Amino acid sequence: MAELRPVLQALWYLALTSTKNFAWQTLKRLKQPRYVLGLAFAIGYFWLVFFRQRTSKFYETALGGLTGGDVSAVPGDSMVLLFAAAAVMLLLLLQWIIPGDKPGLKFSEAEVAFLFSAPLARRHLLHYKLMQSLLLSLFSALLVALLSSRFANGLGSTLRTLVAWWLLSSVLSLHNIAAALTLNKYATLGTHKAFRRFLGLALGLAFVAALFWLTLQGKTAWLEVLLFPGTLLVKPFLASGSSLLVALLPLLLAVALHYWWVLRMETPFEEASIALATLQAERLKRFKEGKSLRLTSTQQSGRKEPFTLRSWMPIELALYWKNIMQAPAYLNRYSWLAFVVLAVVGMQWLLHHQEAPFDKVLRMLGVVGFLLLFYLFMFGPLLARFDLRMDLSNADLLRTWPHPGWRIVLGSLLAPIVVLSSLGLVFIVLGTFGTVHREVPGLFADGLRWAVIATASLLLLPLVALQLLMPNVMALYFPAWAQAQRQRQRGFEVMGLQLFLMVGQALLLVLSLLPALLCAGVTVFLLQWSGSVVVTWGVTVLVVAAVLVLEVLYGIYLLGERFEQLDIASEIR
Amino acid sequence: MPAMLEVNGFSKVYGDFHAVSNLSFSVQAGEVLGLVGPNGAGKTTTLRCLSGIIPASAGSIQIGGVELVDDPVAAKRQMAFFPDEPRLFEHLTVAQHLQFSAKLYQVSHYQERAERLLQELELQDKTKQLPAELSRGMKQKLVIACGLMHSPRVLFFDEPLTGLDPLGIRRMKQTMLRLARDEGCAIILSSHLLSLLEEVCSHVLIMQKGLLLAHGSLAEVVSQFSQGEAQVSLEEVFMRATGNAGEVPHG
Repeated sequence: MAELRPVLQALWYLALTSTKNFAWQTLKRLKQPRYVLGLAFAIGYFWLVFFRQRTSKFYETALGGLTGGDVSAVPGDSMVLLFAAAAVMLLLLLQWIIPGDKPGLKFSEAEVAFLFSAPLARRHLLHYKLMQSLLLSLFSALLVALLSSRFANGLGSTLRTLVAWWLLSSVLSLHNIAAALTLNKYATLGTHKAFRRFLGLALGLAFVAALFWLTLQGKTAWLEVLLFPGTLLVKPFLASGSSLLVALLPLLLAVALHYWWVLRMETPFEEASIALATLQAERLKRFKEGKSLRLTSTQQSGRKEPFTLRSWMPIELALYWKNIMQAPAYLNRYSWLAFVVLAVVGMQWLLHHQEAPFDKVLRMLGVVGFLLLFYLFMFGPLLARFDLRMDLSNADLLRTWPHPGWRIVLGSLLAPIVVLSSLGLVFIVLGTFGTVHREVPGLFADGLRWAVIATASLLLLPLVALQLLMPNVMALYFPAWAQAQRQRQRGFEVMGLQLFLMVGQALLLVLSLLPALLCAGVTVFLLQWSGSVVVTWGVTVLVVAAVLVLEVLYGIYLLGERFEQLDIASEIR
Repeated sequence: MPAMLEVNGFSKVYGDFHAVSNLSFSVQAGEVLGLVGPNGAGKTTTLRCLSGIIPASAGSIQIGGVELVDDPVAAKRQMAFFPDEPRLFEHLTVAQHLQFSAKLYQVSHYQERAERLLQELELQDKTKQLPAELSRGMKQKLVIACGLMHSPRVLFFDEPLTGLDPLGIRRMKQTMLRLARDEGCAIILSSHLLSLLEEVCSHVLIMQKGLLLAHGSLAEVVSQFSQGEAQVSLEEVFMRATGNAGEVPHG
């Protein structure tokens, strides 16, 4: 232990100083008023959601059971316990079923460079990573305890959540490391990867099958036996007083045993850790460049050009050509066409075979289609980063091009607009075929269905463009935060940024829809005497689409102005 | 006098692939050994194994008389590894990097040495800056300062001149020569810049596909491939040794 002390002192210095410097850097950024506003927004949001006076009895009762609150108010303690135990055991099993190619221990490139050649034994590095893992678990437990304190029954209950969550998340993360190291050890002994996966999968399936069977048969006693290890791990969340101390013992023992297990593993992890560190550094680099993160140990081959770029083509098309090649390879025109044909033909077939169980499949696909459309709409613009966000670091270069800012912005946005709208169209087809057929029978249903598809498709394009404007507004007005987000930094400020982004996006959508809806109302009012539903519908949709397009163009113009004045170097310092 | 680095029968295998096979050589104090070879020759793998970053598959590696496998901590205490890319901690300043290195290697009264290194490497006015605020050359210098904090006896440089400006290259060469000549360090460096090797190295080891092609003092290796010609450059020797002489026009 004596030889470990200086090593731990050095590593503690590293962790502490890095955290301190990170906090200081964040504070330094707050010299600019807009970042103070952003931080205030995050604080306000958290206060509103988690720390304001208790107003809802429902939340207290509902969440109390899960967060260590007044559990006596929650009916069926034993069922909650069994459910939680099953969830924990499944999580532990997943480490064996889907192990991936993880080495178990993650080191950054700097850690590899400084620590691997330093006078540290492998055991020292293991201690370092295990303690880091325990520390990270403590941070997550502190956050959970803080956020759940509103629903907790006093300080004692909050402390119970803190300790129990810390120990449980420690067991989960240590088990993750131990499982990966064990699997790696067997891999080095020559056990076939497919065999290991098969064994893990068979074990997992057997567990899930047993779980279902025992639940369906109502054999609670056997269920309790099967879930006993998991029950031991989650029991502290429902215990109080002296029973809490007793309930914590198995958790403590589990942490100690896992720690010992990892230390006992004689698996060389260095090469796999270096490979992972290199891969992650490459992923980070690609992320900063706005490229796809899918990267395996083998380099991706170059993408096929979407079309031949000619010298006479406008700058917007050139930027589209460049950015579309950064989109995931499977999102190309051929796969899109295949999806559309498959969706239309498949759904048509299901429509004509509406007997059981096809009717259920049709309805389910419809719901899934609209759900996917919703998710695409909400999260697609955040994920499809192959626009200005990707080129932020090249902003100075882009500004040297002989084109106004709005044209650069328009060209940068084209690729994600096309990709997201194309995907959205497939989901619209699925959703519409699966749902718009029940209430309106006969031929009219077909007409209505296609009318809905045409309407949604026409409105989808400007709506997606509007949704994409918001993250680009963030990138151009708050480049330092955008940078922090691109570097996958964690922290309150970044969390605030994400919340700000999502709320801002929703707000922008509502605001931009207001004029369009107003125009729609006026159009319907003026055309009500035309006597044709089709004409009224068609003209109204066109008017709404035109208003939305005008809004998008105005937004692009404003962004272009901002882009021309942006001094990225001073912003991200 | 025992060699500072003694390598016997060193091999590194990845599955069925032999990255390095049966390599044996030694480096004395004050010697600079240049590791050359085409891409994929096994240079970086060799350097990483010799510096204990990754384990060797077979063979013996002794650093300052200490067997790396038996006592890695004592062996690593005597050496430093400088990667091709300066990899630094994002949230540590220049001064804090040095302090961390001193703690890691348990260097007592490190302030004096840190100040001297900062001055020598012209980093004295950058002490409070973070890596993001430094140029690539500055980062490289910081990595070198960190590596020299504990006064290592064996130094491994992987492509040390990558990304440096002409002044940086000159300073780096001077630093390496000073460390070898004045402080008696054994230096092992890999580089594709053969002119650098001619200027800095006392010894050369040519590798290809993990195999040793030639090893000895610069003069010995040159004479081995000179085929009786006078004043054959190391570049020509490299081409002849790796069997690519025909591809390069003589002139």
